[in-house]
Amino acid sequence: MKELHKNLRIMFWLMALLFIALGGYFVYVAAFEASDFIANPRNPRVAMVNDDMRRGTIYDTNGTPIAESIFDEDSGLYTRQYHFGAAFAHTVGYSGMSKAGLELSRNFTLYHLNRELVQRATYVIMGQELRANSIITTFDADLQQMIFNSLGDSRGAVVVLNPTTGAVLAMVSTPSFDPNNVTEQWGNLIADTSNSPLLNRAAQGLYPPGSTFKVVTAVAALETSSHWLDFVFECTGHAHFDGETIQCWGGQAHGLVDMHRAMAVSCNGFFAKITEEIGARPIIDAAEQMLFNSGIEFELVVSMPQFPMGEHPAIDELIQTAIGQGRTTATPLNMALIAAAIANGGIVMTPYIVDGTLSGFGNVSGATSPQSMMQIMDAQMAARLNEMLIEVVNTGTGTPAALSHIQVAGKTGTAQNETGIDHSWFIGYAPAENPTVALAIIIENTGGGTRATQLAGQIFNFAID
Amino acid sequence: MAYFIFMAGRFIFKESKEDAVTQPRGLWAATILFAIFAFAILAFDDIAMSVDLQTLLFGGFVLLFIIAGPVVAMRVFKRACPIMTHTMFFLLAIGFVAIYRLNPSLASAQFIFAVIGFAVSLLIPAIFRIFSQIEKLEKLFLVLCAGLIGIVFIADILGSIIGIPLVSIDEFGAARWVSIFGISFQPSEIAKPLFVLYLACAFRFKPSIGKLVFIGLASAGMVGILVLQRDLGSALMFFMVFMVIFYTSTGSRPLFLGGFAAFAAASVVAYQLFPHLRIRVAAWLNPWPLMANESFQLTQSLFAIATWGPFGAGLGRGMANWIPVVERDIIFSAIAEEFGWVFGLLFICLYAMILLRGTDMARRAKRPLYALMTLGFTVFITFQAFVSIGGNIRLIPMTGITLPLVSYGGSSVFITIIMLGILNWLNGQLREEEE
Repeated sequence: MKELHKNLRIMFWLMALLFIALGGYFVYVAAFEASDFIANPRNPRVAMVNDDMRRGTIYDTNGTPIAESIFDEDSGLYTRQYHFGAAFAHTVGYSGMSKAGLELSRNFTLYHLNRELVQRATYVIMGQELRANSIITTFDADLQQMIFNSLGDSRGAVVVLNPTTGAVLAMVSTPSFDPNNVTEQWGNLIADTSNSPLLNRAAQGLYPPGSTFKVVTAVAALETSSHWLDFVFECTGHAHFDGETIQCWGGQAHGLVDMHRAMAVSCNGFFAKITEEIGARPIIDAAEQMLFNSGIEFELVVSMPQFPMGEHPAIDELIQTAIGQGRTTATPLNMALIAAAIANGGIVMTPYIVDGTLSGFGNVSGATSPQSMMQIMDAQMAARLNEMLIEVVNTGTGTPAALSHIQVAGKTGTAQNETGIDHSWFIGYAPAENPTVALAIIIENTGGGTRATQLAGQIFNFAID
Repeated sequence: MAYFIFMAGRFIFKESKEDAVTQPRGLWAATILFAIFAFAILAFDDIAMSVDLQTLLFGGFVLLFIIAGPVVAMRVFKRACPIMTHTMFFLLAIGFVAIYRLNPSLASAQFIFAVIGFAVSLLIPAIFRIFSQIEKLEKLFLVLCAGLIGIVFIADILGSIIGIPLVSIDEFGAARWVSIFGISFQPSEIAKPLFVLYLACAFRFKPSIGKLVFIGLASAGMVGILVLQRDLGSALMFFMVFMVIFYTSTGSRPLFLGGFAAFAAASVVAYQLFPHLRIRVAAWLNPWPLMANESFQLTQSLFAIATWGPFGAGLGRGMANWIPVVERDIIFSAIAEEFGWVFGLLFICLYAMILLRGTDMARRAKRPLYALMTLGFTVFITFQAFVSIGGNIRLIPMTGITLPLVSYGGSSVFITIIMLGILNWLNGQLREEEE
């Protein structure tokens, strides 16, 4: 009987363990894992409309409403209004029978009543409106609108963020659409496959990075040896590698260049040459360190930047990759994060667009605290690149971005692509001595040129005062 | 509005739950209050500002049952365990509310089964007074149990020979129900208490090697038939109860672990044999890519429990009716959706309480027979709850097994009430022994 009791106790603990696992896992799924999957479009609750309460407002960082539900006295219903129209279509998104953007990812916050009991009671007793939680974003609506207007009819994308916090100040993708009547134009939007207006190019568009990738190549070389800083190459406008030829922009001969100068004038020959010397491995390491081939955690859907080159590429692929062509593709968000890391001593901050939740009673909760995602280069490396990128803007290809009162740093790019008409890139930050704004800009099919670089100057001028 | 009343109702429930252990009256009141509030909310339509009389009528019946039930039970079973009794009625009440909210016509059927089950369970003391020497019926239990399980098997084969399907197959491909003379029932459910009674008798002394082999083979045979009928959930239950009783009696660790090893091996074989099992496992391991078909039920279940946060959507405001066979398989998620995960956790604790009380009772028993019986019934009920809830929340693969006392399923609710009745009777016996 005594032994039986002992066995019994073991069996009890076995069962008890099962129940502890059950309760623990249940709370884990329902409370902690929930936010990862409840905004799934297959969750029928997403499409649910609660007509009796006012869906939360989405504000910009200064408290300007971007998306707001307005009560219509005649119909007795709320309608959703997007005050900035197409400018925020890819970020704030839209809310109708289907949802996208923040309207989807924060759907349940925007439907949640804070202190529901009190609100329900005052609603019944005093007829006061039920107000769900609102969201405060990190966007600056004026900046966003300015960028959106500047892009005009061009296809392109801009990501502007604060390098020290990761807060996204603006994220624009064009062409866009008006979220106020997305349902009516839905057929046209999905039919327009040549412009893909529904695609958020800023986070999902995959473009060849062009010369902006030279930043990665420079890091790869300097990681192997800092002697590459003193390496001098004579550029004749054409460089030959085992029968493969690489040309500088317009066949221009840059003469004797070191790394600083080569970066400033974007000399293809120089970067192809040092890549031939160091080989594929350092480039692969540097690219993967800078978030290629890895996912970024972000509120909105992102594409993964691709760096498919293997360890033993043909010489042609190797030198093309070194100057940002080849098969490498990057998202504007990823390039903006690289610029931000250089501005922030090598540390990438996790990008975010939601600053906090504002309850129906006006108190703020769940404020996002900036988090560092990873260190993609050491501080010394960042400082070296900073010097080079300042030179790009002061004396090199980046001069259209230069401002009289603010020191801008950055790198231009011209990306050859399958359409045959080049894209124009710019990545950079300002003020260079104490950066508060970092950005990446791509404008499609400009045929090269300085549009992206000029726009960068305008944005820095607008955003920094 | 509905939510407000509901919140208040739950607050009272939680308050009264505090002193539930010492004063069962609190639990009784909590059950009654829960049912009153729940049916009031279900009956009241806050848009049309009207009250549905049919709901009130059903609520009235339920209320009558849960008010009178515990009083009658306490009187009939001398020294019934108050915690077990009240927990049973509370779980039943939650079940009636949840099923009624999803499908009112199923709820009335469930209610009738529960009342009949309760009525039959009141006869248990009298039955055991007639058959006071339970251990002498060991062979009878075995024959009945094996017969009931075999009947489906035989009927299945017979049906296919004569061309009339006598066994209905459920949506998981499991052959569970037998219809005879227009009454359909689930023999594997009825076999459950007989199986526990048989094992308790057989293991009341440490069995000899020969006897052990016999019991093992007989049990393995029954589990095997259940597996062949693809009733894998029941097979798992029978296996677990066997292992628990076997270990408690013999304390043989090598054989206990060996049993689980054999089970693991058998699982691998079953995985290879049954395509529907492979689908189940695939849906469990990686539900999101398969959510259009294979894991539709599971992902919808996860959406239901996770969408609304700690206090749920409020009764009547969830969307659990979306899930196929929600009343039977996913009832836990439907409850957690509308009552919130805090309530869901307390709900899990109710089963844990049965486990705690049950094993405590078994520990007090002076006769091994009673100890094993108590443990067997307790494990049957609580392990089944574990498997059902665990399947709903993706802790383990979904089996389509019922949640005892709560899920829709006539045979299941009937048999669980009987098992709890026997536990109550055992409690009385143990108290008598103590004096």
